[in-house]
Amino acid sequence: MEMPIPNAEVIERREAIAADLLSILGPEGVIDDKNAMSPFESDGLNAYRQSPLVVALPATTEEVSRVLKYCQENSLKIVPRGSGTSLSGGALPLADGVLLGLSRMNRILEIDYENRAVVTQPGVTNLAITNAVEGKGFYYAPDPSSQIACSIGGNVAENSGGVHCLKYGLTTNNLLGLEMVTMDGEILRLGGKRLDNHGYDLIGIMTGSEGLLGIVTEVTVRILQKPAIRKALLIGFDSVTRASQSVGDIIAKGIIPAGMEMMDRPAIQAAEDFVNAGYPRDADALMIVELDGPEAEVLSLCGRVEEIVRGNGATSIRISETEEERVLFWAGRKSAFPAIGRISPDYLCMDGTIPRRQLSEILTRMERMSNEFGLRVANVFHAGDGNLHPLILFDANNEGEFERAEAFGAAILKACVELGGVLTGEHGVGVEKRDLMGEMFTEVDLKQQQRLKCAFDPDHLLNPGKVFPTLHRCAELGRLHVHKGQMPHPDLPRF
Amino acid sequence: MMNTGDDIIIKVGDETELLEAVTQSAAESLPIEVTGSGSRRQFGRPVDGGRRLDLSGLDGITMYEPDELVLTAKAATPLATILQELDKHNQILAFDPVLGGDSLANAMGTIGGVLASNLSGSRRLTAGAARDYLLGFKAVSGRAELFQSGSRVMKNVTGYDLSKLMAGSWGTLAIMHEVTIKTMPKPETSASLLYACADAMEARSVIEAAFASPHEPSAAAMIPASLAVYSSHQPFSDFARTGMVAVIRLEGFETSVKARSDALYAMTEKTPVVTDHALSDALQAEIRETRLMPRQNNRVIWKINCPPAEGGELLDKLIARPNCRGYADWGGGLIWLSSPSGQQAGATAIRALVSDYGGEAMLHEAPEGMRRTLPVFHPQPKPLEALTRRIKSSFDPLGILNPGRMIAGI
Ligand SMILES: Cc1cc2nc3c(=O)[nH]c(=O)nc-3n(C[C@H](O)[C@H](O)[C@H](O)COP(=O)(O)OP(=O)(O)OC[C@H]3O[C@@H](n4cnc5c(N)ncnc54)[C@H](O)[C@@H]3O)c2cc1C
Ligand SMILES: Cc1cc2nc3c(=O)[nH]c(=O)nc-3n(C[C@H](O)[C@H](O)[C@H](O)COP(=O)(O)OP(=O)(O)OC[C@H]3O[C@@H](n4cnc5c(N)ncnc54)[C@H](O)[C@@H]3O)c2cc1C
Repeated sequence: MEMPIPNAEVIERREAIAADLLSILGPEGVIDDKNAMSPFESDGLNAYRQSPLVVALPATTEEVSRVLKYCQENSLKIVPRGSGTSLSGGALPLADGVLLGLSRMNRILEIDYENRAVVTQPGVTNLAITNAVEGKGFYYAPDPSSQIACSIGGNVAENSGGVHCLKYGLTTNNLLGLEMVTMDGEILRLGGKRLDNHGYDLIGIMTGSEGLLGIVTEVTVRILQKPAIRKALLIGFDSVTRASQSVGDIIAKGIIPAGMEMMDRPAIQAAEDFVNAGYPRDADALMIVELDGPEAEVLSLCGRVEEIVRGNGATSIRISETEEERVLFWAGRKSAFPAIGRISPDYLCMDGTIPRRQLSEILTRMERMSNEFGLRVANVFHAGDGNLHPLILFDANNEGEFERAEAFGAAILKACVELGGVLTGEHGVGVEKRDLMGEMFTEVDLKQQQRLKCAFDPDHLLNPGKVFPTLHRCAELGRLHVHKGQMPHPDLPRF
Repeated sequence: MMNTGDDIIIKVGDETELLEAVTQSAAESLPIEVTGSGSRRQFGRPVDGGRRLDLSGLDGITMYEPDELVLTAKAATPLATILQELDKHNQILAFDPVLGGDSLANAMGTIGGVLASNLSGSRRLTAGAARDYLLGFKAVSGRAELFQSGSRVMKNVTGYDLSKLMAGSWGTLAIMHEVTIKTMPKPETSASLLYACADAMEARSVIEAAFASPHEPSAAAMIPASLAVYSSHQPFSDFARTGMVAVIRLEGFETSVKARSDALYAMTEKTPVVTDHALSDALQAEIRETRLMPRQNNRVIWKINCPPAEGGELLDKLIARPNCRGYADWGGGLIWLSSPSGQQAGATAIRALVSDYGGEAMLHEAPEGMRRTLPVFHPQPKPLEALTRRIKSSFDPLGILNPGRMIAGI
């Protein structure tokens, strides 16, 4: 993976830069000791490591603003970081860049139940928001599996999802307001507690921008009333095709479950060995369907779902009787990653999305590729929305195996795009999928996206080297090639 | 090409012709006014000059897979075509688009126009806005380049989410020629509960109690009795002598709606009037389509977004202003206000009051001259306006697409 060539001059000035940051942030806000910086060397994609120039930990929006202004004036690059759980290397440091950590901005600022809004600083964890409001019967819907650790600011930057996206949407569908700081230090407040906003949807564009457009310094999320009841169905099939068919059939019947997950045989077995959730070991596919809402509705829908999957030849069906049982059904799925971690020294977690009806096709192709690359793969998917998480098993100690795993991963993602899907459903592009962007976008598409970046950060100082395979200078991007008398198709009639 | 007086209209039939038309305008730096069917020309700020680009030839659904909840259409496909096709498969656009007509078949406008103006109906409160349902698009930018973003799948974070930017940008950044949207199952049935209340404050507390219950309302409105009397439907017009009517709507499966409606009925001391499905839909339409609002020559209509919980108090204050009438949808989060057009439509005072409650006010319907001189959208702070300008020029550096449609000079 090639990163922008570090600027040796900047690295030379490291101590002076650290001293300047110290004067802005005070001793608690700067880490420049090499050893003390080591926890910041990588994020969740830990195959890539890099020590940052220096770590800055602002405690307030004003401090963020002053650091950015300082960096802008001194042409210093910035890499934002929340909790560092990104699986795509979005928070991978740069040798000549300041790593800007938001972990000290970790307070919930306001809970407004009547407006269903929580105003929070970016370093607060996803789960802490739900914890803060659940006493009154509320919760924050997007629930990435990393929710105990990942920050809400990171969730905004990655537009994170979870197992309940099908009914409740991703981060972008659950935000009301943002405060952000642009590279020049300007503090902007977007939205608030109202539902819609006039003007360009900057909250929408900031969400999923992977730290390339600005620093999120405050987030207003929408919270929801907890559903009256939740029930989960644990359904085994002897073929992935039948399971996939059931996913489509449930939706076609007008039922939108809160979650609809699937696991293949290797994932089922690893999970069952790890947590003993009572998963059917002999099944080729396991589905978890969660229904939530008013009691009368959930009970009747459980019946309808049962009927549909029976019709598709389900080999086992269990419906959770108690809340403990429902949580147990989920336990295997939620710990799929550590479960795989036990059976393989290393694994890579991929994140493509496909149109749901292509599920069997992609699995067939994956099986073929697994043989070609000589590496095992286990699959957990958010089946309801076609988001796949193939886990590629490898051992980094074996010469060349990591590279082979990466090539396998890239081949899977290319297949996803070929089948009408996308490179990443929720983990982001980061450095991991950066060089695959050309599979989905033309040069013109990518340049238009970069022009938008130029509107926020004309000198490419924010998180450079991520998302875009080629960095074009803003001046070059701004050039227009339409000139009078040089029209394409001069033969066509004009107005 | 058609010439109607001084109004030059260019009609395009496919993306190549669209690209051609924008290229020509770019070469001559001549502004274009983009219209789907032009039905919203009376809304928003009028475009500053320009030729009218008529997209209505970009018509047709190109892909619809109901079990995948996804539909792709050429951008100027009539909303009516789309809604009728969805209806055949028991599906809907969950953001509840304003129809501008009395049936699906009579819905006005095009899918591109609906998305570009990001206007959502009563179900917005619980189902999200138009912008939440635009999954991907293909377009021509003001640089006269064909580009695309997004895709046909629901979960996608590959690159910036430009769909969000296109929704609500009123055709000022790029002209979409194809859109892909998420569809949803149509609720089996619905019911509405109508409560007589003294004022909006009280109506708001009735609504809050319903939403704090486990009975999951899908929409809620507060209608002053003085407007309810304009309803063509009886239980509504019967509320003539109360101050404010709180309307709470339930949707979903038959068994569920019945159980929830019974539970809500039993929950409060107030005894609501409960409607059946047909009547619930009819009232919802009147509320969504602003049919209860007085529309006269000397009046303007404001569309006000505010935090839902402030909607009760804000509505009471707004309609206490001389000669102002209005009601709230989205549980209080959207207020439609009709005010006299004199003295700049009271814009300064109305906007100041709305700002105090964390809201913003759009001058929705007003004489063209007024929509040109008064800011149509709530004015933005300077740094935000500067960023808006830079974003506009990153897509449309020559300023040829709908100049001035949102903000004068942008
Ligand atoms: C075990 C595990 C399970 C996971 N499960 C899921 C899942 O189910 N669903 C899912 O969507 N993701 C999942 N993830 C991925 C990851 O947790 C999310 O992407 C998360 O949102 C990252 O948050 P973070 O605070 O750790 O951000 P970081 O990793 O620190 O940063 C992520 C990106 O956001 C930027 N960033 C962070 N904070 C800010 C800010 N305040 N302002 C601007 N930019 C910022 C960074 O520059 C970087 O590009 C999982 C990860 C792990 C390790
Ligand atoms: C309360 C209310 C009442 C209404 N009542 C009526 C009514 O009585 N009669 C009526 O006709 N309408 C009415 N409408 C509006 C109706 O809903 C709109 O007609 C329709 O939804 C807009 O579609 P259009 O294609 O005609 O839009 P247009 O007016 O053509 O366009 C709307 C905006 O979107 C832009 N745009 C259009 N297509 C594209 C594209 N492909 N790409 C990029 N930008 C594009 C345009 O430039 C314009 O800025 C009402 C709306 C409201 C809110």
